[in-house]
Amino acid sequence: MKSMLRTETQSKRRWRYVYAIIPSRKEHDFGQIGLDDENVYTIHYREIAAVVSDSSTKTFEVLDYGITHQQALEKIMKEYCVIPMSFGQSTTEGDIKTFLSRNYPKLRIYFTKLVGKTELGLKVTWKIDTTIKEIASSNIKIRAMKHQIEGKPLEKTYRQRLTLGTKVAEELTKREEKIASEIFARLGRISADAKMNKNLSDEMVLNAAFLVDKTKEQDFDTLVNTLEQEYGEKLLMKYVVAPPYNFVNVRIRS
Amino acid sequence: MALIVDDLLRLPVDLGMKVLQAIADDADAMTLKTERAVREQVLKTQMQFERGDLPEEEYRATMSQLRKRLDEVKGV
Repeated sequence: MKSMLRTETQSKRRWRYVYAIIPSRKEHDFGQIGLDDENVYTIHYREIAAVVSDSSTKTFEVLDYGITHQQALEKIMKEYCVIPMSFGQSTTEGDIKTFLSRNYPKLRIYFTKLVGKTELGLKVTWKIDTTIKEIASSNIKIRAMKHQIEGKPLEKTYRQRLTLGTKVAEELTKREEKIASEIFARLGRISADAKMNKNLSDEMVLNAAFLVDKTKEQDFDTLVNTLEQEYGEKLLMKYVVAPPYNFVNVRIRS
Repeated sequence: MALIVDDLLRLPVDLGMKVLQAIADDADAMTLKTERAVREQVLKTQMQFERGDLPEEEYRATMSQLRKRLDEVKGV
């Protein structure tokens, strides 16, 4: 009777929600940090493990559980190098073991690339007012156009104003490309890998991710500070530690 | 005087941005009319948050708005 009950409970909780894959031979219990406060633990294949929690359901509502997924991943990252999983990767224990064994060589290569390194996401934005002022004072054509328009009524200079705006925007784009490639190249030189992503807003100059050796994190920080001093009047710079989604892309469930 | 110069220079840029914003708002309103469209936006927001492109506070605010929008399109 007892064994029947256990089997029934096990089959109801047959799904394993996956947060990350880590390089570890040792079983690890992360505590009740999972979705629905479930216990988070490891399922192993040789020296690689999936970090999971049990569940009676295969799908989860991202609106309810998105934050918990990320918070659990951040806690795991504090102790291990991770191949992070995007939200919603849930399957059976058998499928996870099959996935780990089938992809073992590939996962090992990923860990060779990731172990001892951190992904740092850098976002650089214009201090837009300062930059526009600077463009106006340094570009002769723009300065001349501005003088022609100044003091004249809006309705009579509408076209000129639009042309002026277009010129300012063009100059901004030109500077953006130059500055972005320079910052990217300089930080890229002290990184193991780097990736430039699409800017998220008009005022963004650079949105990039750098894979940095932990022994070089201080150098990276110093260089960002140097760049901030060089471009401080024009630009705002901010970088954060993030799971290395930019440098590995693994899904257990397709 | 400096203020007038700045305003003059900003005007076309601001105007351009306002027009673009209005177009974007319209597009948002158009595209978020179906459950599928809202769901796609939810997943996009989650991905941005996971990759560190979106701070937690902004993520929570966006998801809260999307939840409301989802209820609206589902007629809840």
